[in-house]
Amino acid sequence: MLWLTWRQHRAELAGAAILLALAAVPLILTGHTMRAAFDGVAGCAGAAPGGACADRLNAFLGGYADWGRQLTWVLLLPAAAGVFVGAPLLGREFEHGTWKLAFTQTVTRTRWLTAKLALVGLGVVAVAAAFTAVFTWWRAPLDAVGGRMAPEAFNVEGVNLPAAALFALAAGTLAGVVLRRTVSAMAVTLVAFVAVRVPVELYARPRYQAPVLLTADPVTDDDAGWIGAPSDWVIGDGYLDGTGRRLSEQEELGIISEVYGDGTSVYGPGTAIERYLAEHGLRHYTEYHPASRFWTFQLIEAGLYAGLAGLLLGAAVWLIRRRTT
Amino acid sequence: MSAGAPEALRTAALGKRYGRRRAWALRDCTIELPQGRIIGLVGANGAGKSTLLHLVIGLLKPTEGTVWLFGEPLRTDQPAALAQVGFVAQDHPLYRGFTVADLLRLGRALNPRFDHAAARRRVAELDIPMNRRAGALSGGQQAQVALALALAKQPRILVLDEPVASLDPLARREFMQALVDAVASRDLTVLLSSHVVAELERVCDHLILLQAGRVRLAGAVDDLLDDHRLLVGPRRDDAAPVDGLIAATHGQRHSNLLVRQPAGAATHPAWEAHPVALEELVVAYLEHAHTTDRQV
Repeated sequence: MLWLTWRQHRAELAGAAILLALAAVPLILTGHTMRAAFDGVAGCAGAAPGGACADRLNAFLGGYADWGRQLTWVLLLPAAAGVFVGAPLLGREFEHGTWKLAFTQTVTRTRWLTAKLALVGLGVVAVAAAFTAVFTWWRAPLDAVGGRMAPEAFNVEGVNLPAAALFALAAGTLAGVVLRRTVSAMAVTLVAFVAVRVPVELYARPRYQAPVLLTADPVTDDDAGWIGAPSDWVIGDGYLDGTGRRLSEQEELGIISEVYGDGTSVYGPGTAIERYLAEHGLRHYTEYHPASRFWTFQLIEAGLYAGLAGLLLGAAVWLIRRRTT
Repeated sequence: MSAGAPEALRTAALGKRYGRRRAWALRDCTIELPQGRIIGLVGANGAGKSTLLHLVIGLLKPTEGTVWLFGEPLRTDQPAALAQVGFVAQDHPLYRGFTVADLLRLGRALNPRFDHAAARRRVAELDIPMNRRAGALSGGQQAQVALALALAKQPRILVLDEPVASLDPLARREFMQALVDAVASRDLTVLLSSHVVAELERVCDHLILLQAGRVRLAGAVDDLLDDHRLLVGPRRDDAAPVDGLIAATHGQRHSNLLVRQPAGAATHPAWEAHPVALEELVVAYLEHAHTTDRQV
């Protein structure tokens, strides 16, 4: 089975290696440039705002933070494992009838399926881990300043890519078994992956744990509307009334237009809006996840994807067993 | 075969329905196939031939009934049971990107008893290049490679689903010849389906005829031919009173009646009895089904 699986999937592995090389070359080149620039400001990470050091840090971020966001496309990278490896994995066997060849050799279905899924799954995880290593190295200077909780870092570091790739692989495998057509299975896999990945990032991830709530009084705290350390992940902010109720966006906009009318809004300590908030007993609040939660969140999300992958693969195996003996 | 040897294949009340609302693809199929024979499975398209073949090797799960191979209930969760069966599916599916050498290596990797040398020899004798991809082979070559793979596994029963349907006449003959040669040199039971009766007539010593998902006729070819006769006599359209009538065809002045009667049964003096050929017999059964269907 080892040889057969290698023979059937070596082209995909070669494709993955080429893709990895194509991504790694520009990342290594720009990574070195970015590191050189970062050497000058490394000591400023975490320095108090204002001051020359912080200005240099801001200049660095101004130049390179955009680069970090270039990696947003990586959000969809694991889908490739589902579309190009998962969907054909069994879909092609059923489309071309070669499952009949496979199932009439002296190998039980259980062994054939386990060996194939385990070896291919291992390959996918290994490739995803290699991508993670490259991205993590590249992002190191940006992470030193901005932390790893924000999506552009969280999605490409830790165990997120391997876990999401495993989920994509399972989705593709099941789609191939159900549809028995490689191309339609590929399309369904892509849609299914996006349909899970995007809500997980936007809705589920901020709720893995209760966020830390920070309130700031507009009168006593001169750094009004403080947000925590730059490495924390802020997921929401706004105004609280005396009872602790959060004002809706409508109410917030209402206050702003009441204070400033159509004129220019000015924020910061001592501005008109702060005086208004103090007069009406309102406070600032910020909700965030501290940078220290990185691994907790990584493991929760990896568990989510791995659990889904297990369910989907279980369904695929169950379907095959129901069809054959 | 010795008297005590179990049948190569036995089924009891075997049935398959693809989905609850669908018609039965196969029903009440009870057959016994002796060891060491070449058994032909005939029937119109959609009669249930493929379904039966897939059921007896465990590629499909029966809706009802049981299958025994060499006296043991069919198992697909034991390598020893899987090793007994060789299968060549319709259109002989192969991994298209694999070279012939890769395919033989697959056979060796997945079958402990695989006779790699014999498979290589067989492929070489047919001048099939070892380094050519399966997708680039002709249909006849693909069929031969599939057969070589199935034979090298050294099964006790070889099952072939329409092995020559997609081949040209020359490739058909070569394939059947290869099959007959292979069977002659070992203890092997072969079950093959075809709607090309002429191909079966030359190689089969046993026949099963399926009609609309049911077994219509089953037995040794010699017995079947002995049991049937063609009666030729003056034309009569109401042939009903004749015993065991299977099919009637009427010319201008004569009627031909295919009847199932024991050998030597007395016939009306107006009728002249002739032996039938296998192809005539099969075609008569198939056509007869056709006409009764229309009347219903």
